[in-house]
Amino acid sequence: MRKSLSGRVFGIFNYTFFALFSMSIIYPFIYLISISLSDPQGLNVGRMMFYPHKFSLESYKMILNDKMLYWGYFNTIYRTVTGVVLSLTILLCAAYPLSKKDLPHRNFYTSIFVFTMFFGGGLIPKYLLIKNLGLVDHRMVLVIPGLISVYNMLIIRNFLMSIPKELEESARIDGASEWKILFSIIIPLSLPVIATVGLWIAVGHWNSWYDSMIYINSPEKQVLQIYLRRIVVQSTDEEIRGMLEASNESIGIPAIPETLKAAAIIVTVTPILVVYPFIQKYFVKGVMVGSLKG
Amino acid sequence: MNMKKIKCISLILMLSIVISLFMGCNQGSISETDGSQLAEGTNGSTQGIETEKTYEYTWALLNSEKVDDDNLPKKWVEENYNIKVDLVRLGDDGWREKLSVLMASDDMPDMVRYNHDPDELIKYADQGVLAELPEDMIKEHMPRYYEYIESFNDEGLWKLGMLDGKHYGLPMPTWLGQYRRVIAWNADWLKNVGINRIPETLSEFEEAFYKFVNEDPDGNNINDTYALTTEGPYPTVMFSELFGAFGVTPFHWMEKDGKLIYGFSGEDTKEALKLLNKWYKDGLIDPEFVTEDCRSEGNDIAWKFSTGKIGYISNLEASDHLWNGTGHLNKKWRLEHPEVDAYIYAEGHAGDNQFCLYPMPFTDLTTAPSGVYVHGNPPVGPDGEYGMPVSGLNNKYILFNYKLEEDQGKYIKLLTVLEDLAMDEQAYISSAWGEIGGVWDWVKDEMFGTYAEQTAEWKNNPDRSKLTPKYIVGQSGNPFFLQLKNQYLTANAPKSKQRLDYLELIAKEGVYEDQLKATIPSQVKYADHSKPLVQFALKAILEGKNIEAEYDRILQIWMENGGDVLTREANEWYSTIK
Amino acid sequence: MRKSTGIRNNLVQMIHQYKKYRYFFILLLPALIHKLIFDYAPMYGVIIAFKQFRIREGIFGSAWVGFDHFKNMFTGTYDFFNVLSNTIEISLLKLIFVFPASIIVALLLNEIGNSTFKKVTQTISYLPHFLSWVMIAGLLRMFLSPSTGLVNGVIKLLGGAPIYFLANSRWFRSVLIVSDIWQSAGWGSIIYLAAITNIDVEMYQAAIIDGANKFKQAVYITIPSIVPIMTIMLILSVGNILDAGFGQIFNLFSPVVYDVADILDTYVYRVGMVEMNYSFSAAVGLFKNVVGLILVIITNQLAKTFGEYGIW
Repeated sequence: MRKSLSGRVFGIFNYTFFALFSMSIIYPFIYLISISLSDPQGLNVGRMMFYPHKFSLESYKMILNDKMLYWGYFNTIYRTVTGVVLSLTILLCAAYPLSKKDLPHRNFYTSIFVFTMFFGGGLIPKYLLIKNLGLVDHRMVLVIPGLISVYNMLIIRNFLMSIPKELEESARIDGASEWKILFSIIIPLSLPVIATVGLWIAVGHWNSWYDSMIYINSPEKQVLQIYLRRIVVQSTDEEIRGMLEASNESIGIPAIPETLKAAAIIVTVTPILVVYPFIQKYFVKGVMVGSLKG
Repeated sequence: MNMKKIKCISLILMLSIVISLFMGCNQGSISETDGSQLAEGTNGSTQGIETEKTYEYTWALLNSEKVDDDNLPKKWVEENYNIKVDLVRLGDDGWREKLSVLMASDDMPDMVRYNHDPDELIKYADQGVLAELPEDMIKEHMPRYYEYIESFNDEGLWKLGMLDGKHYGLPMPTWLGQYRRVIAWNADWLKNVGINRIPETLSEFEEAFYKFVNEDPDGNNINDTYALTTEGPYPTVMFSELFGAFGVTPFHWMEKDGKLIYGFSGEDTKEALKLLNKWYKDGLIDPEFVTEDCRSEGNDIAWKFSTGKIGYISNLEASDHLWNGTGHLNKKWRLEHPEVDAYIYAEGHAGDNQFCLYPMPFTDLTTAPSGVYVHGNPPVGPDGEYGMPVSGLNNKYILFNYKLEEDQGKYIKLLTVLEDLAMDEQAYISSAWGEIGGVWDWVKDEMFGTYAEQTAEWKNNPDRSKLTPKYIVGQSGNPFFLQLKNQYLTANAPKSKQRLDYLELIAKEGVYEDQLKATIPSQVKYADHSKPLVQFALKAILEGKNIEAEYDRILQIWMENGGDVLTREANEWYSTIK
Repeated sequence: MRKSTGIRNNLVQMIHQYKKYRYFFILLLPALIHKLIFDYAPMYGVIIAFKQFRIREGIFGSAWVGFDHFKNMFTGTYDFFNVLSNTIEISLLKLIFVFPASIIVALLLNEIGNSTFKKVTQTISYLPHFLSWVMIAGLLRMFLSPSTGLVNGVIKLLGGAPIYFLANSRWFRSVLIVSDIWQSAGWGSIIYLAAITNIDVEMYQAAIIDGANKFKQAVYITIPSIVPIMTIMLILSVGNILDAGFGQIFNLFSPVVYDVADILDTYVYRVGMVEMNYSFSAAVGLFKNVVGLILVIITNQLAKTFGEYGIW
């Protein structure tokens, strides 16, 4: 098909635009990787960098020797896996009944959940509750209080509502019990939305830091993002500081070099970068599914 | 919205109120349901006779100190004093929130070493979470410590912890707070731009600054230098010596014509801001000053100074000069100027940090060698005014949980332990390095007298950094470090005495203290009164629009939002001591 | 006589219904209990907003002050209004700039012919959505630093003076907007692309026959077909106008930009946790929740009238 001149110009503009846009996302990582592989001493930052300046694995050695990094990973993975499994279970258990239009007082029960999306008691009563339940400084505090995201539940509920009633009806006529219907029909059909919501929950857990900051005291129970915050925002990770002091011979709080911060970011971001291409298509499918079903 | 919805929502509201009140009642009010949470531990003996109880304490660490359960400080303290100590980490990130939340849920540790705003002490006292600590109690159970406090001869040390006639918190006089920040100039730059005398007056400062920016002082033919910077996030430090040249300390209370005023309301503040704005516009001031921290990242102020980005620095803390030749400037500075090494180590002790003597403070530009920096004094303004505010003696406290009041035995024991750790030389070294003769011992030296040092075998122990803090004093690991003057002197004898002498030389001149040395009634209510003023000051320096009118306006706002009340009360107090 | 039988009948019917759905209620129960414990129980804390909370006296022992804090919010302090207007202004800015960004990206992406290029670009563009604001803030700090940042390096090269973006009241909001677009444009475009791919190809064919060029096609076919989903998204965003992005702002701001960046959530947090003015902070928080709830209810009703489903 012939393309008009304006069409061609537009085309060039379009491709360039997206090329630049993609670069704006990729370049920071190239920069970070370059810096992280550079010699920590005397690095003159502030220029474009596409490759390391004075190649050195020093920063990575320090980060990978910091046992706090591994605790961070452990705790984040722990909460993600536990969180996803438990959340999905309880969300399904809640969404399924609420998807039945004939459930007595259905609106009432739905409203109970929805109301909590907008009101809360504040940090102090929450903290008191957590403390009284003995969950302070316990890893499960990262999972249990946030088990039910009403928004996610509603997404699942809406999806379930769109499953044609005929399927259930015919199964019931055939004599299947409610449980059988749930397990052999409903759940298999809902796998897309379950997978999507599950992935959303996973990402949420992976990136969260606030609850860990408030409820967790022991450094070995802190999540990865807190570890990252300590290095990048606060410059106070003690193991790293200890290592810097040992190599540095000066007292006071040694400054954490830019290369270390970059290495820390790379080390915490890499799993996402690696896993991401494989799972992103499920996400995309999920959003489409979610949107079309309202 | 239809009726059904409204019914639903009101039903929910009622339900939630009922349920939550029911649940809430079970949480109870904090002060009575818990009883004695921190019970006394095991009895000392197994016979029926009452021997000394082993009290258990929770001890808070503000900084992210590296303390394992097996480390020597904790073990030694527990064994030596027959107590149990549980270390609670508050960390650096979000420590305020953590402390807030712990206090609010009645979990505040028994002892918190508090390093921040003394004004906040009153807030905590007001919330009722602190144990009262009357002066007499300190006198009776911590006699040596009491003497130490009294030796500073400053009523302000007692006044700041007072609320409604009761005293809270154990003052830890910050003896370093008597010294101001140290001012330093890049000697080479001064010489390169043709100045042969360390600037003394404000106009000399200005001349030097303009030359630093416009006359290529580092000779590299690139226009890449600034003259100065400061710590924007700390209003009491920000450009303090420059405000001082105008006779004002904007964020302290000062005396004027026999009365106390809050520095900002001194008219000359305007003039200072105008000058700073002019300098900012002319590129003399590094724009990063607004978030600059003296020790924040690799690119902090000291680094900028030592790598030739700025030519003047007024932020070196006095304590920097107690450590290895200029503290954390050391590493960077020495990379750039290896020749300075010749001045740093005591003869015969090259490379040994214990004997890293402070390089002679160079106060004379003509005799200063190349590559060093010279020390100056705060600038003298057109009216002959000069000065830099210091934090004064009291900005550190030990806070005690109110529950200690209910168990006097436990409270007194804690006080006695603290006193020992503070005043007994051997005790506080042991609290870092363990029993004498183990990891450390006394060493006698002709040049440096007697001092404590780790044994040679221990220094070679690869695990040493895990079990003991590297230095006795300092943040790297000793949770029992109380930051007292005697501790510095003993622990680092080879260097510290000399350092102290130098400090007197370069950091005592032009010192100015906050004149309000008491807590006034509305202090809690208006604790954040200065925030709009700080904002205004920053904006004025950065933008400088219409400073005159805006100044009057913001002063008015401040007056209406507590400024007036505070000034009145401050003067009521002031008149009682005049 | 008839009335009582009526009520009794209703009761009997209800019990019968519950019996019929008993398995479902068993499934529902754990979630309900969880909500009761973790969401409803702490709600009593709301009364802190009506008291002068003092830790020692506890929540129940502290004195009642009624609506004093609310009065103080509007007349006593100088900064509440500033914070409120910041929140609304930032949300509106995001509505004007960030919201259309995903739509534009979707429209443009739709025109990319090369499917490999399209897929690769899309994959890359979703990536920032998965990064936490802690990480993005870390990146931004590095890049925007006046002394060592890349952006200022370029500015200096072009002869300008370095700008301290993150500490500058004039630039800070721009940083918020741009970084928000960076983070969300790619991901946000998915939903629009989904709608676009649902458009009947025949409509385009008919338009081409009628002589419409690409631009006209976009205006008359593409855009109208995504108007429904755009409306719903827009309305939902308006409902959330009082959340201007706590995670983003908290990790990026500093006291020097409070006057333009302090939003309700950061204000509540700071006044409560840092300044220990718990009661006032609770009052502001309650205000935000109530107003937010009302907004969401209203906008949800609107969404229902315009679209097919609301949120509930």
